[in-house]
Amino acid sequence: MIMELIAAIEQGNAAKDNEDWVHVSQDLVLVLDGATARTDTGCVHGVAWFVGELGRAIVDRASQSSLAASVAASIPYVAGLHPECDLSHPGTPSAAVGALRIRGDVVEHLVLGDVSVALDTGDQVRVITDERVSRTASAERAEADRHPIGAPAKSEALLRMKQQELAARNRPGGYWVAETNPAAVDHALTGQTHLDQLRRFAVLSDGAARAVAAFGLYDWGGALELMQAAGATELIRQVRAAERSDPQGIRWPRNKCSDDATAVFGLISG
Amino acid sequence: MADHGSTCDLSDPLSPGAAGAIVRVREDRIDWLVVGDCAVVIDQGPKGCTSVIDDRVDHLHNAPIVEGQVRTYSPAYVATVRNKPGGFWVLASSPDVAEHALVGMLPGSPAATQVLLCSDGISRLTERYEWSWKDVLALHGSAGPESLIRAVREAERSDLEPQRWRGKRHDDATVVVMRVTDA
Repeated sequence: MIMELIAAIEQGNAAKDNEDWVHVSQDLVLVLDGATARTDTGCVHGVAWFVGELGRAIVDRASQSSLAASVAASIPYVAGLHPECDLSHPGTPSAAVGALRIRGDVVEHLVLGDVSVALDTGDQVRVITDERVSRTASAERAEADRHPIGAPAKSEALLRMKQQELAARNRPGGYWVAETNPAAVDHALTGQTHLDQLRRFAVLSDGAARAVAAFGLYDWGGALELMQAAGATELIRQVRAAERSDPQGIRWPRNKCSDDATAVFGLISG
Repeated sequence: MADHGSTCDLSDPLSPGAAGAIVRVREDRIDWLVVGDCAVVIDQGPKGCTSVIDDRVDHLHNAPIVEGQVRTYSPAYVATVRNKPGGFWVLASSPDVAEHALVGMLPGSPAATQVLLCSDGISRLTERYEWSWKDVLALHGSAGPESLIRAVREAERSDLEPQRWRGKRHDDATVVVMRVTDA
């Protein structure tokens, strides 16, 4: 079996830290997307630090444990790295997680939050994506979407949206992400696929999945085809081009012009 | 080491080892470490590009090559030169290797427009197939990292005499490129 793995990660805003994080090796693909902080967080380290520590902790554990067990063990481990911060703060750093782990002939996947995993078995593309976060704060989200990016009313609406989102974070009926409570992992979307049934796959943060979900440039099969032909960087390049064509978010209402974007593509052959 | 020290003989001169290339990008500088046959290429745009490549394994004095299906050094010979002064260095069981790695720093904000790291599966393009690093960067710039892997495979497949090289016809190939964009 030969596997070609291609990963691209690009900051959405050069003036800010990249809050996406990626790991790629022959038996583990891991994409983390730290949640944008719009409120106080109670943490002096910041979201980029949190995703880096969480990502490295998951990688360390995934050589021995399932993805769910690795993520569940990493959450309290990272909390233990900064006990001086107020970890009970409602805005404490959090991250969405998308992962694939290959053990023998089994491909295990985990999605916690809005990172997407696409599995192409030849006859179908199975997409695992958790849209629960975008079903929270719907009135506030609709209000934020009414305003162009950069307008003061947009920022105010986004702050109100964030406060509503945070109130639903890691709560039954809300949405689930990695922050301080390992029980969130019980709500992750997990499953397994036989390696010999898998032709290709992708793991995308929502900043890259905009190509499909928000902008509709491609369906999932088309996005996989593009990455196979022209690479993961090309998918992100096209997302950026679409964003530049609509900098104020009029055609495609969104929270910010460009988000940090990560795309990993895997091709299995032979 | 601690993970397998109790079950494996880490004093074996052929204990598993690996080449490595690490680049750390800071606001005002780039640091690198290269050990074994990985490469770092620092592109400074109009100022040109600089490569850091640890090819000591290719310049061993009077190294006996075993001619077989694949030309190679014998394990017995490797045991006498691996991680030994005057030989070549890889990341194995002794931290002393860090003293023998190629390390350096380039100041600047940013210090480079892009930095490429690769395993020797990719640097075959320059070592075997007469590419310049500029060619490598240019192909990457126009067609992305996967195009470099495809170029290696194409060069290997059209190599009429692959047995003239030390090492296997196709090797695992990894390339990472960090591009610095304007703030």
